[in-house]
Amino acid sequence: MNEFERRLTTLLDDVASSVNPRSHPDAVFVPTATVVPNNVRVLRPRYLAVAAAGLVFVGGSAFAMERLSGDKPARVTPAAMPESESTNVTTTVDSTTTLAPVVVAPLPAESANKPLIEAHSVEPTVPPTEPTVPATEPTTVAPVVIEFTAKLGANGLGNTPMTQGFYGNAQPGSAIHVASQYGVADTTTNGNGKWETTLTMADVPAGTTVAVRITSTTSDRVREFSLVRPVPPPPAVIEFRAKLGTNGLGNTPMTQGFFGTAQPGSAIRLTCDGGVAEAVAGPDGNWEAVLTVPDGPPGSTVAVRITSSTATVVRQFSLVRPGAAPPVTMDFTASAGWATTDATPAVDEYSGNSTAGAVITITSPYGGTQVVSNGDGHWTARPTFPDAPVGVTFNVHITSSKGTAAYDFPLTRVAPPV
Amino acid sequence: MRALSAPPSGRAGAALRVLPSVPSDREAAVRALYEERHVELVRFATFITGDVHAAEDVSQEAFMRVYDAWDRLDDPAQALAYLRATVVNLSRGRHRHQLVVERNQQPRLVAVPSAEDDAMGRVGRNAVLDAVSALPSRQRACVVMRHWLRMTESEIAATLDVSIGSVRTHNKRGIQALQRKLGDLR
Repeated sequence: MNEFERRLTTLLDDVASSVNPRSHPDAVFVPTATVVPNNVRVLRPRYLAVAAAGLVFVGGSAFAMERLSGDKPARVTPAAMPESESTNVTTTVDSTTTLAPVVVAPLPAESANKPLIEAHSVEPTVPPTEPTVPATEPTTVAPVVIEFTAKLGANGLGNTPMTQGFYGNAQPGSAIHVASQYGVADTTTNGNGKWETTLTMADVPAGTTVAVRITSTTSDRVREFSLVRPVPPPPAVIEFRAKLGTNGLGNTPMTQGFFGTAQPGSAIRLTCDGGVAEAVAGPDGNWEAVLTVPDGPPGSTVAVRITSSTATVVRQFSLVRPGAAPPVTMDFTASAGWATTDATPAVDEYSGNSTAGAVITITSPYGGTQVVSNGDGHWTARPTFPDAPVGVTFNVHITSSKGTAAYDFPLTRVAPPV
Repeated sequence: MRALSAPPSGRAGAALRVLPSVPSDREAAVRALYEERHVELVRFATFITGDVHAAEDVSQEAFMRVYDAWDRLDDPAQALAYLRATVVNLSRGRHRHQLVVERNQQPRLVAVPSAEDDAMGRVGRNAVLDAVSALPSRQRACVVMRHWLRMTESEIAATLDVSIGSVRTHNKRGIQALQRKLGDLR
C-alpha cells in the first residue's frame, strides 16, 4: 500500500464517520398486519420520523426524497390497523397535501424488546372502545408480505401413477390448490410461509402434456406448469442365448443345468430324447433351467434342443453320458479289393468288420500282415506280396482273433501293361 | 423503500390471519445483525451509491432481503457478506434507475433540500466521496472494501463473486483513477 492509498484510507474513514444514520432494528420489519395494496408503501419508523420532521421543515424529507427520486407521489399508510379501519388512515402525500393527521408514536429506547405492533402503531385511528383483538390474546403481526411462488419439486413423471412435487412460498395459512386434469392436491402454507405438496395424476397416457394450475387463497396470481408424461423407451431386444450350467452328468438320473437370455417373458423349452424342461425369462431377460436326462448307456450321446417362444433360433447341445462305452461286438467279415494285380510288388486291399480290438491276420505263400479292428469294429489292410511271380495265382487267407469265420481270396499277379 | 408484491385487488386491506407474535430466531438474529452492522452498512452504501438517502434505503432493503433469505443461508456467519453483496447489487440497479429518472425529470421539479440533506451536505460535497462515486461500480466496490473496510482481496472476491485477480485489477484501476482526480491528497 503506497502513500496515496494510506492517505485515501484515512480520508475514507473521515467521510464514513460523518455519516450517522438513525438505527432502529424494528425498521427491518414491516409493522403491519394488513395486506398492503399495490403502490402503497409501508410507513416505516424512519419514514414516520422523516414525515414528522417534514411538519417542521416545509415539504419534509419524505416529500423531498420522493421528488428527488423522480417517482410518482407515494401513498403511505400507517400500519397495524384493524382490517375495517385500515383505509381510514391512508394518507396521500403529494405536493398539495400535508401530513397533519399522522401522529407518530414515541419510540422509547427499550422498544426493540416490545412487540412490533406497539412500536409502530398510529394511535388516532383505532377506536378505543372496539378493540378488534381481545386484550388477552397475543398481539400478532405478519413479518412480511410473502409473495406467492411455486416451483417444481421431486419429479415422478415416469412413475405409475405419475407424480410431481411442488413447493413455494405464500402467506402463512394460505390454502394452496394444485389442480390438473388428472388429479388435484391441496395443502396449507406453514407459519414460515412455505408450502409443499405432491400432485398425483392417475392414468396419464405416455407423451401427454398435463397443464397444472396452482392457486393460493391469499393471492390472485396463478402459477401454471406444463408437465409431460415421458414416453417409455422401447424395450431392448435381448438375443436368445443358452449356455451350459451346472453339470449333473454323474447324477442318477443325469441332469444338466442351462441358463441364458431371452426377451423378458419368453417361454423357454428344453427337450431331449425322453426329457423336457421349461422356464420363463425374467424381467431382466435371464432364464435358467435344469434338464433331467433319462438313463442311457454310458458314453452315449444325448441331443438337447432349446427353443424360445420369441425367437426362431434353436440352440442345440450334445451331452455324453459318463462312463466308457461297451465294446462293439460284431461278426467278422472281410472282402478283397481286387482279384488281379499288376503292381510291383503285388498288393491288394482288404477290409471288413470285427469286434473292436480284434486282431485280423492276413497270410499267403508270398507274405502277409496283421491289423486291429477299431472302436467302431471296422478294419482295413493293404498287404504286399513281394515274392509273388508274374502269372501265378495264389490264395490269401484272412482270420480274426474275435471271430470264428475265415476268408480266402485268390490273387493273380499279372505283367504290367507295356 | 421496499416494494411489496401486489395483492388481489378485491382483497386490498383485508386482514391476514392472526399469528402468534413470538419473535423467531430469524428475527432475533437479524435484529442483532442490524444493531451491530447497520451504521457500517449505511456508510458502506454511501460510498457505493454516493448518496446518504439512497444508502439508507439500500441498506434497509439489504436487511429485508437477509431477513427473507435467512433460512436459505448456508452459514449465518455469511450474512454480513450477503449484506454487502446485496448493497453492491442494489446500488448498481438503483444507479441505472437513477440515470433513467434524471433523463426524464421535468425541469419544474426542483429538489428541495431537507434537514437531512443539509446535515449530510458536507458528505455529498466531499471531494473524496464524489471521486469515489464517479468510479465504475466494480472499481468503487473494490476500493471501498479494500481501503475502508480493510477486507482482504480474497474476502472481496468471495463477496463480489469474482476472482482475486479481478479484484486486484479493479482495485488498481480504481486507485489510479482516484489518484488522477484527487492528486496526491496532500
